[in-house]
Amino acid sequence: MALAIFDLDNTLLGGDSDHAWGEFLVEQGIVDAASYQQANDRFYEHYQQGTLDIHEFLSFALRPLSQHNMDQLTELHALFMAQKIEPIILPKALTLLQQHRSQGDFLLIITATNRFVTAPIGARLGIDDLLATDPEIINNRYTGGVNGTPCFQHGKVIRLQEWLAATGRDLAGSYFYSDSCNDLPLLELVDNPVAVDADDKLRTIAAARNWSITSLRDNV
Amino acid sequence: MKQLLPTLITFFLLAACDTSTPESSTLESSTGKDSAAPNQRVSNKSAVELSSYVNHYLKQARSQCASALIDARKLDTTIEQLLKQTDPNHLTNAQQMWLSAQNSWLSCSLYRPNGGPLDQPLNTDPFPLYERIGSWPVSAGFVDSLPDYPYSGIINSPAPEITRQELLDQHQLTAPNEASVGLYVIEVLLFGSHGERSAEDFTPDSAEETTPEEEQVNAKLRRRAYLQVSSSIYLNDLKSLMGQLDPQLAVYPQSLAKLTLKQQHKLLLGGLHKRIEDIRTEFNDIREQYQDYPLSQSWHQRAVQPLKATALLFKNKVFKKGALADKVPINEVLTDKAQHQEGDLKKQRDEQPGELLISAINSAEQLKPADTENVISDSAFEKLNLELQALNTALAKKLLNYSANTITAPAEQLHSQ
Repeated sequence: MALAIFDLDNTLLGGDSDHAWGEFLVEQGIVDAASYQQANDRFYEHYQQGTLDIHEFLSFALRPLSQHNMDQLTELHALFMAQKIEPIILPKALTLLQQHRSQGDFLLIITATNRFVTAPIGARLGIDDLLATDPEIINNRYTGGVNGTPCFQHGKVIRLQEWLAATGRDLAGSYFYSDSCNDLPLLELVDNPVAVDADDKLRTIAAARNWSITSLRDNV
Repeated sequence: MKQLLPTLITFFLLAACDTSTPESSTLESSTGKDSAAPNQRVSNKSAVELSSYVNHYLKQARSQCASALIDARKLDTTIEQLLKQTDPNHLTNAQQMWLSAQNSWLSCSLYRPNGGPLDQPLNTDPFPLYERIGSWPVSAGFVDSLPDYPYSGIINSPAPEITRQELLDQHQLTAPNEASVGLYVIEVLLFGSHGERSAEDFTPDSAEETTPEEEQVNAKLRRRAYLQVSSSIYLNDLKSLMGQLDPQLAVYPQSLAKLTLKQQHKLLLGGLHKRIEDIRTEFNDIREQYQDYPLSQSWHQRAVQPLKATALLFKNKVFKKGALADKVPINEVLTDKAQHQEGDLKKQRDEQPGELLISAINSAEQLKPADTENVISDSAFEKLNLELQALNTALAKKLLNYSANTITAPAEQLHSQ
């Protein structure tokens, strides 16, 4: 009966949904293939290295949302789920979620990827709540801006603390599963940090601190 | 239901237009795909501020619902533990958890009426979701035995079968208080009608002790199954509610987004006003018959928790002292500009709803029945009544910037759906 918190990309998914959304936009011809792909890859590399400027990235990533209405975006996302997300849902991740669900834990995904991309994924995984970077919506259209604190690095801690205050809960007995060194601030906060298919930096730190280290990939 | 919701919202907004400004009666453009309607004469800055309130409202609604869901999971786990090991400690644990679950549900219950998921039926239910989750008061004798009627209730009848569908089919079938599912049915099962429940009531008799007749209606087995199924229904209903408040996926937040900001503001604040009025009315009823509610004797929480949840809404910058009157484009949203001359606005700013709210919470806390005597002075009820009245007057005047009648109208229309 605790809070079980999960990072999404490369933790519960065998890939990065934010990067996959960019690839999807390129494949659908919605954005200029050459320039967008190049920028998308460059931001992803910075993310993996822990050097991403989140505001610069969000300005890039959210711009296409502002260029389409809600109905168009909903249709696009349904196709994105089928083509890009379903193939990277990890069976072992579903088992892990079920284990926590069975012991009465509250399942919370906390991700830097924006809510437009991640909310349907969270629903597909059957989680209880989602904290994600919130794209700004005014007059039923995305503006391309961000609402509130981006859910990235220490921003995840801020957003979680806001959520805990609003729900009147605490982190007693809590878990956090993540693959990324970007999530160190939150991993350090919970009672049970778990490194999942971790990047080199996180793997080293997790080993040094005697944190749990695991894999949700079938072939590892 | 997904198709029904926008229709309902449109319906009661249309009804509200009877007492609203001429500009708000043009709904076609405001409910269309592009809600940047030409008749919506609010500046970009104000649009962001009002939008901020709506976002805050939805975020709070989802947070309170998440809290209720967390407690529902805990309650389900303690019930599971009780059924595995039926002893006084496990029963006490489950009862304590029920009290926590009630508090978080009551906070969540603030978020109606607003045309949202709590006001809508699930699937083909003939009642709104809040009646399924938190129907109150319930007739304990409809569920289980009473001290003077040991064989009453579903528990002591051969029918219905204790299954999810059968229990849902029985819910409020004959009268609103004849509830067969919901948090307060779980209360009857866990506490008994008058707090008389013992762990033995969940202990199945051994085969040697039961006669064939008793086997026909094995109350203890039925009570165990009933507790398990009703807890599961409660848990799943809250999970469903969470999904319906998802800002990205659910119909309700998206339907709200298609309304003009002015209409959103009116709908959500009108709902808040109506909810507080409902609390006041309910406590005037309780005042007459509070000694008939002896179960867990925690009914004062029916005022305390939603009012505390209201206090969380007040933390939003839109609600800070003077903020609404200063920042909202008053000339754009007033229904009767003549009522709001500069002098009146200044006077209204001096009436602080936040202070009235704190007083009302304190007064509601005072209604907690004493452990030994279930007697509460009439003046304590009257104090809460007057404070809730003042709070709602202040809300209507200071925060809503509409006349009280105009604000109440849409919520009443909604409530009657």
